[in-house]
Amino acid sequence: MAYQAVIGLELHCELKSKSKVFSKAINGYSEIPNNHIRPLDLALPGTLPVLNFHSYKEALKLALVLKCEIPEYMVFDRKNYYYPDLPKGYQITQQTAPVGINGELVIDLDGKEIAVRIHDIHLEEDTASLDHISNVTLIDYNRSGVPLIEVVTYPCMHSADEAVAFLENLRNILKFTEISDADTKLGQMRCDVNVSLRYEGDYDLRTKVEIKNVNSFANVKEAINFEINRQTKLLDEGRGNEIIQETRRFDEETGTTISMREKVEAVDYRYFVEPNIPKIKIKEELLKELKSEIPMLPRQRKKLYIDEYDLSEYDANVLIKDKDLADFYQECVMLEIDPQLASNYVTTTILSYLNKDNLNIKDLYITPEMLKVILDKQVNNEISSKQARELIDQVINEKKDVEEILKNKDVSQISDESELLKIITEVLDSNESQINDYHNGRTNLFDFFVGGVMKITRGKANPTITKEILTKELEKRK
Amino acid sequence: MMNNFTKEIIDTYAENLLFRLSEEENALVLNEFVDIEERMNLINKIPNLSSVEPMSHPFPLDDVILREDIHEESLSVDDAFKNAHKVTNREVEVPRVVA
Amino acid sequence: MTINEAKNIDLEEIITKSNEYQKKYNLFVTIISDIKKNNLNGPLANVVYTTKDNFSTKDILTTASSNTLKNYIPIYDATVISKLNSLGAINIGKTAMDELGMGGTGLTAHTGPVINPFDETRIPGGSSSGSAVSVATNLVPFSLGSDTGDSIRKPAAYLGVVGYKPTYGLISRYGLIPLASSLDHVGVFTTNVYDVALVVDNIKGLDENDMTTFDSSKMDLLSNLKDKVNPKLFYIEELGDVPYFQEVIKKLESTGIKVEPVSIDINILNALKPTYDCISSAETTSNNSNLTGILFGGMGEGESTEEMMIDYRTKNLNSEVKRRFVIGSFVLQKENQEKYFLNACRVRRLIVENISDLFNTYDGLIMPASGGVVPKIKELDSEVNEALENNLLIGNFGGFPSITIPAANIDNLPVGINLTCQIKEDAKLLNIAYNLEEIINYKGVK
Repeated sequence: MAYQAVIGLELHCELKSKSKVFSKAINGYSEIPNNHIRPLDLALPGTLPVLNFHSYKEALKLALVLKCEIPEYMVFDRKNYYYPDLPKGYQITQQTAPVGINGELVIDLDGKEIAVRIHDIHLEEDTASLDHISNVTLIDYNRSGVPLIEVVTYPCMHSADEAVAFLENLRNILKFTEISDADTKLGQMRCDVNVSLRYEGDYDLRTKVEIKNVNSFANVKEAINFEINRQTKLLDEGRGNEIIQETRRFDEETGTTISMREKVEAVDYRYFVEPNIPKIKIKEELLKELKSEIPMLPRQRKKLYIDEYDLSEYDANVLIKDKDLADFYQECVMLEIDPQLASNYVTTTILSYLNKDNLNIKDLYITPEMLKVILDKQVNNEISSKQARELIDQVINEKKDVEEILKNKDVSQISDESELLKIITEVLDSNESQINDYHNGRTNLFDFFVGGVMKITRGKANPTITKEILTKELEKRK
Repeated sequence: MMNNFTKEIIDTYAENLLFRLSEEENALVLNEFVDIEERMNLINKIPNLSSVEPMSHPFPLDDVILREDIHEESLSVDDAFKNAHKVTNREVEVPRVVA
Repeated sequence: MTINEAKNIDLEEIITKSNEYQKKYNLFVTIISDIKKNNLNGPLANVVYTTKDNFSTKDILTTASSNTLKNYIPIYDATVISKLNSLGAINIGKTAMDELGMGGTGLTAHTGPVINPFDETRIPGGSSSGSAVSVATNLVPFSLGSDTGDSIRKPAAYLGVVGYKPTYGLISRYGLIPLASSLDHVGVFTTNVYDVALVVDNIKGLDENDMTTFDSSKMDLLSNLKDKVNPKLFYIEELGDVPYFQEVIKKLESTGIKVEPVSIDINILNALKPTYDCISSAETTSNNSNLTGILFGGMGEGESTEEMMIDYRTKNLNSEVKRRFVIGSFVLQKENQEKYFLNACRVRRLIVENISDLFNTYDGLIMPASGGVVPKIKELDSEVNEALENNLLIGNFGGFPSITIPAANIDNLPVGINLTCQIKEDAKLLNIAYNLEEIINYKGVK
């Protein structure tokens, strides 16, 4: 019996900003516990939430990027429940009118275009973090009140790969638009996965199982696949009734999902509109202004790199991994460096520096303009590609401009044929016996002669022209 | 209508709100519910009430002023946890809770 | 006592008097003894005042008269407190209130009932009980209170003082321990309307710490306060049949002021109290969810954190508070929201729009602040005309500015009348009230 997996995702992403979403405390990771806290983060009596304008704009920007319908007013609600990581006893979130509904994120998977439909996105605040040590729990309020965007998809994905592709695309978008660093290692992107199976062709959904707090894309893939198999086995053995609506957690070591709570009746969060935050009119001109700030997104760039610059899929994927790298590359193309040539250097020489020390392109001294100067020289054969790479290394390592480096080191390549002929004749005249051995079959001596020329010219002889003249000269001395 | 207000239901409400009711308090709440029920039926007599939009703020504010994204210095741990029950190296301590 | 008369009061005397009144009326939670004069010279410089104990006062115990906060020392001042302190006004004490602002009797403070200075067999009214008493006994010229469902304006009537609640958002609520955020207002008790204008002009304003405040810098409450005015007022016909109230109306009409009865749908009037109960209990249950003992208030006993939180709340919340929390949770349950909470919010809109429309043809709504004199403690459960006794809720539902001024004495006990105007018309409200005050010329309790 073939079943179809039906998967929905609920994703929490920490937004970038200087201060938290409703309090003035610093929004940022800190090694020291309780080092970024203001009275509101501790729910001290009499404190009030004041919405951060930046977080409000970023939420609207993501709603625009994900093609959501945006309401006339920004409205917040209270989600009431008790837990030691929630000092107010309620979380300010959006339930009545989320900042974005019915959106869409188009992804590519195995050559197919899939439009993942988004139920809603809403702006809310994070909880404090709990450290469980032996028989106590320690509460760190640094994360309490950090701005979060929750993205909730419709249950419209049908495989672990689709789900992971969606997550990667969304993460790229979040990083490109600088809405979130989306670093799963720092817990800035946390995912709940809903999985249910239905008979192929069936329309209605069966009981859905929720897998909570899956914190890396690899785990999401493993958790989904495990859950699909678990449910499939139960259905095949006619034990479908054992699939109950429950919350499970993903256990990394065993790669399995484990049921978390026995009592499953849904907690009633007693939602109601947050009285301390007035309804905020979402103005047209603000949306226009935000639209203009949205950079060209990863998927559009990849299409541009492949269709117009005909880069390989591989190179295009490398370039769109990082917005600054893609911007650097696009500036090179705008400076009329040949797109392919620029891509070769950016995705190899330059990228090696970034990967080696986990740097951002902005940390390197080299700029698109400098690369243009170097590659123009290579294109007009003034320098070889080897020399070009050396020049790039020097610019990056010595942090000096190209002109400066060129001035104090004559690096121009000797490609004048009469000058090369003189040097080649000199080499051949002093190596009579090797010429005979060469003509008697030891052809690898050819490289010996080339080496001799390179030694005299300290590597500046143009290799292609040198080889042409050498071959002719050797013929004459048969 | 009486059936959905029982002593047990009231006790579960209280438990969900993290407190317990004495017998008398429970009884007090029980007849308060009956009273609320009757008086809310009054409300439901008001014609075409369902077409009215619920009001959550006294009146709309035309230009709500949002906060610039500027942070302030953190509270010191001494100030922040001045009234806290137990603090262990900069963190508030409670008996272990399930994750 | 007026603010002007309180200018050069001797602080030592005030402290002695405070202690004396504390023994008689139990009106304080905390008497502040380290008070000293300053050399500022604004209108409120060196003027003494008291503060209801739900205002956060830095380094001064703030309990909201609840055992949950009986040893809570805040680390910040409420906005209104900072403003008053910077003007040199001197806070001489935190006054007792019904626990967490719930109730209107003055009997549920964790420090014990507040005593009515005119008749200890009667309640003082609440929830701003101690504040009202501190002004009614001429200890201080003004006191800070809060008004969610008449908690300033009704005790003012019962004790023969002026009680004022501004337009919602005129005065910042930052630092006010909330009862119901969409109904709470910071307000003041004084002995006369002029002092209301004087104090409020200095504590109103846009506050970056409270998103519900608005810019009132162009609103000047003093400039035309004393202009002679002949307003056209209305009262709710179905709730106007109160002898002392009708006498006051006749007196006002004799001076040229027009007062007309207007009929309001009785279903809506009867819905006032249940609507308030649903909305305020839902909001207060949520607003007090931070009272768990973990960060302040002192942890309860128990093996687990949950048990400790349950123990803390069970021991430290009074029955009235617990009752409201259960109701507040009930009306918000998914299956009940529509019939209870949301319907209540719909009725709120009906009431507010109904009254707001009438402000297009009338300058203000004048009403009896209560059906009669302050009730005896023993007769608290006696039948009352609920709509009449709760008519001041209208001011909270719509955020309308509203003021109670003393109107007469019945058997040597005060009764008051209340005036309510359109939102943001606080200057007009105080101007009319000033005129009514002069006409009524109330002499106080002998």
